[in-house]
Amino acid sequence: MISHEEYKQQLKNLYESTGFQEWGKCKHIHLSPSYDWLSINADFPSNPNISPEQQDFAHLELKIVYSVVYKEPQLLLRVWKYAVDETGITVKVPVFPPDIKDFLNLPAWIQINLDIHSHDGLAETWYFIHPCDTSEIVGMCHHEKYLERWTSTFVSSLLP
Amino acid sequence: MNAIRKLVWDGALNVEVTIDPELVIKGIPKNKTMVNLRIPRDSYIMNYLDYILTRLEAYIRVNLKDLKELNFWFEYDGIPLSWNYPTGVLYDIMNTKDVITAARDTNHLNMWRINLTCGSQVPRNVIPIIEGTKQIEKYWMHQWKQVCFILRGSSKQIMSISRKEGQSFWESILRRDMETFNNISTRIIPKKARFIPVVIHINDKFIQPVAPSLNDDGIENKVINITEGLSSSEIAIISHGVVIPKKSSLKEVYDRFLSFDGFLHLIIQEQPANT
Repeated sequence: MISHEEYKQQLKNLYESTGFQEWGKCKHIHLSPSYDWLSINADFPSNPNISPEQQDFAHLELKIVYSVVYKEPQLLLRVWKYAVDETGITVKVPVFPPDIKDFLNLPAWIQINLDIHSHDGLAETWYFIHPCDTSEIVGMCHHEKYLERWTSTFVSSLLP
Repeated sequence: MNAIRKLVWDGALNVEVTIDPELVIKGIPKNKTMVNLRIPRDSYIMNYLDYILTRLEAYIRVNLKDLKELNFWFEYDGIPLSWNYPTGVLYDIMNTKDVITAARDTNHLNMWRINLTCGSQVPRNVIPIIEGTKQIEKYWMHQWKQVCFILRGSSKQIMSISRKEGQSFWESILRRDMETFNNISTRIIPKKARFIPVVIHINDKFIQPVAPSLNDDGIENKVINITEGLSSSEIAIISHGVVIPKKSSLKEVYDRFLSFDGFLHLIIQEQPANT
């Protein structure tokens, strides 16, 4: 577990370090001005399950937020795809593959489900990775490195 | 308390669902494109989708099997309804003025007229159904895991429920079996809770406040303690269509008015200023 204030400080430190940029899949990264959340646009993990006809997928969007209930960092995911709108313009739209664990080659222990994330009054659907066993998964470590270790477990190792 | 729980459990809405005209065979009269239902307040409206589509199958242009490829959602007055809240909560959010009127008029009878629509993309605030009814059950179970964690500081109690019991718990919602629901939910909900699982709905937003059952002096928190500061106007607090006295004990209100997803949903209605 980590307090909200510690989380925000560690998220800022992590953003300012080169940790995310060194993760090969990272294309773009943004930290909220309040240090409450961080979003990453990333390439899809290498996965033979993504077939050629699925190549119009644009990118994977990750969002790291703080769960007030579990007092843990929480990872949200969205898959963006190119689509042509009614005016003929190519746009990016979020899609929700039912087999998301296979699609992203996620390990069996991950519990993932769709839910609503509300931010600045805007409610949106995301895949939520359930954080209830986070402490056990992250393991014992120096508290000031908690988020770094969490990121290593839930972001770079999960989506190599 | 049991009498109030029974009234809450039995609460239901008269709902008239009209299907998107785009889906209907041309020339079919409008009254054939509607389904009238009595839906328990304490249920997910999406659980009724298959029933509604089957009832209207004869008047729909597309094969029912092909329809499953589309995304469906319900709308009220053009506003998409987030099915992940109990049906009664959706009604109370959309009709707070009617709820207050109905509370004062015992002869009040309402019909909630909503539309069923579909498209390739669901609105932002609607969770797409991608795994059928199993997804709804999984979503509900995740809500209970959160509830257990909020109440006890751990999800162990709900994790100790066997798969078979978990299935019975879900089916108790579908079959309106209050006894089974109570038997299992009372194993998750402790007599003395650390925090109370609350969702506050205000101005098209939802808030999940940190709601300790006791204040710093060890005295039970009241409903008003978690709602004050949310609005500068005078407010009414509604749960299950009932106006809740603001000075009621939060835990007592939770024990009586908790929803089938384990949360206490409070709908805030801002009252117009007296002129």
